[in-house]
Amino acid sequence: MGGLHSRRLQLGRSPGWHRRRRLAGVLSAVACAALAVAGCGSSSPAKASASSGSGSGKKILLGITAPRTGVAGPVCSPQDNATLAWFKHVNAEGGVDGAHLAIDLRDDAYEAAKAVANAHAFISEHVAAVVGGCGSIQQPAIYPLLAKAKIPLLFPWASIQTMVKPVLPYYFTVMPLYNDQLAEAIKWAFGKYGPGSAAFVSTTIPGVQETEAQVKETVASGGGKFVAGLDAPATTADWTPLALRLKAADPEYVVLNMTSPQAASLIKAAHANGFAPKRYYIGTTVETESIFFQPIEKLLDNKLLGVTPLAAPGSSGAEECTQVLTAAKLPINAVTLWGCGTAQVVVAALKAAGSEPTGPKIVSALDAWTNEQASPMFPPLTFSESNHQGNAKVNLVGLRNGKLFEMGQLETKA
Amino acid sequence: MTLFFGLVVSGIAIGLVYGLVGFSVVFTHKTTGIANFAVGNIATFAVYIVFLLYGAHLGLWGAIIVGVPATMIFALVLYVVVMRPADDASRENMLARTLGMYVLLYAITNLAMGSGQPFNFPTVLPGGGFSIRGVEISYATLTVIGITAVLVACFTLMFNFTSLGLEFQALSQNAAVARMLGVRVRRLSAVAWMAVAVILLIAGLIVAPTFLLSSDMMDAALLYAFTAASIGGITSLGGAFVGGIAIGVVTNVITGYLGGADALAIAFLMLMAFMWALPNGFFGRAHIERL
Repeated sequence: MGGLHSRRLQLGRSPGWHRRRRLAGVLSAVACAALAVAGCGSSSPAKASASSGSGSGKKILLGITAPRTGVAGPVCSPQDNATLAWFKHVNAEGGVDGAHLAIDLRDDAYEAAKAVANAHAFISEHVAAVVGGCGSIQQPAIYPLLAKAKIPLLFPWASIQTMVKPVLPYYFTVMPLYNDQLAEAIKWAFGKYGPGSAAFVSTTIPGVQETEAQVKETVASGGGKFVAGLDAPATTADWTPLALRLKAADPEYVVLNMTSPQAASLIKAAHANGFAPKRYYIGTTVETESIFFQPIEKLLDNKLLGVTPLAAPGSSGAEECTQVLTAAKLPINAVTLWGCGTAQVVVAALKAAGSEPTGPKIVSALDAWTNEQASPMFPPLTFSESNHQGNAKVNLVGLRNGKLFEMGQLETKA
Repeated sequence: MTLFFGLVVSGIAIGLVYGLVGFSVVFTHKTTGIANFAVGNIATFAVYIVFLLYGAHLGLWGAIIVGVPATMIFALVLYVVVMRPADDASRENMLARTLGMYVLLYAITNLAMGSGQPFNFPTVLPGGGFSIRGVEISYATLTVIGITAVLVACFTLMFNFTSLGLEFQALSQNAAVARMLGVRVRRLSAVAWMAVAVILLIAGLIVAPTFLLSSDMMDAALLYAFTAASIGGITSLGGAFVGGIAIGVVTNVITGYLGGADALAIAFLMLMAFMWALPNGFFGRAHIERL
């Protein structure tokens, strides 16, 4: 319409009409600027958002690059909010050995390119470490830059085999690899409920082929039959084709290696097409997120086995985080508890690194941890120069009446 | 073959949704000359309005009945605030505004209503269905086919046989001349925006129970919808559905047999091929100007 309007005759206009047009033009420009600011706002940094406001004295600057928008934004942003809540709590209690934590939180929208841009910003700001983060796509992209600048990348919610084996000197994780989680959960399920046919469904993430191969091997060695391996990008609009493939293969176990909203959509599509596994859906830590199981709780029909390295909500290990998250008016679930728990581990690492922690100091301190109880949310952590995956113990949980309950403990390959 | 026909049927079902969103793109283009990039997030926002009303214990149908006029008011506000100021700006300026609206609506939805998403959304479509040689055909799919048929029929009749439709056509072909002939261009544009918002609400209500309600619910569908509108011919209302079904069936069959990673690439290869072989799509008309 706009272009056509510009060709209209402008005869017989009053002087006031021209003034109004100019005013409209100015207002329009302001509105457009506001739109642009609002649009960019989601990717702009939320600097020092964990500051308690004292503003004086020593400061430790940390970077977080995580999805605040995009396909994983709704799932991941509560994690950063929880991390910030814990850092704010630490600052209110006097900081880390008197130094206040300042956080530069930047949105990567679950995109490697944006995460790389954020990493460049962190390097120019000389952050002590990049902490948290959410997603297995961004970490391999930013690690080389951070390692070159001797900035450690600490405890993202991610599972990337190539970043754990062989050990990368500046990358530390407390998340057992998803493929190891799934392998142990399959063994447990086959032992408890008997071997059976299994299909593997994954969102397309780095390492999906290796995970599928390990699942296939575990199923075969456990006496089961691997009947299908499927994957699709997280941006897939309709999961019905994969649901129909599942229905055609008719597995007794469906092994999920998916982002949570997409897993929920798949199960909805499967249900709509008359398919549910005769035994169980087996998932990773992702499938213990309430954001996954709450919308589809009835469809799951209590047929969910998930794996989590975290203390269960309501347990004594989760008490401190629960108090802080509640005070910050954040929900208590796997994602926020992870955000809080990893923030506790970061604070412990900073304390261990001594005054004015730098990247190399943090790395040295972490490499010296043996059964360190850095956070009550996690089991004791052990790192060394040859092992940067600090945690091998996980809980196997089931779902009953909308709530997770512990079914057993597993030990993954560290 | 059961899997193949199952993929085709589900492809038709999702293709009709792409078609509905594509239809709204075509309708806006036909009436205002602008391709509206914000359609996906308008749909999402409209569904959130219904969801909030549903949460206020109005019941699903009560929420929809109140939600339709609320959506129309929301669309009117969008038009008045974003599109109407300096509406004699270039076409590129107006397109950029729809892109800005896309980002802004996403941000607002995320900030104001996104906590705890994705949400389970109740379905408005009938449950159950029947099976033909193992291929599930749901009553929901048949209902969506019915809804789209009624929409296409109504809007085709409106465009061809009513004075409102003639005014819309005049507006899309030459707004300046339409204005000189007495057509109230801005009022008509506002009506078009409100009508489009209601169509998008329908599309959103159809997909929300399956996609789960979240601020990025329509993002993936938006790409396919624009492809559908382009393949059908950006000026053809029915063409959007033909394009949608073509995209839906092809991508579903590819996803089913080859995996999802190839589906988007194939969809855009199709678009490129169509743009080359049929520049005006299946049913679009070439724009001819007298020199």
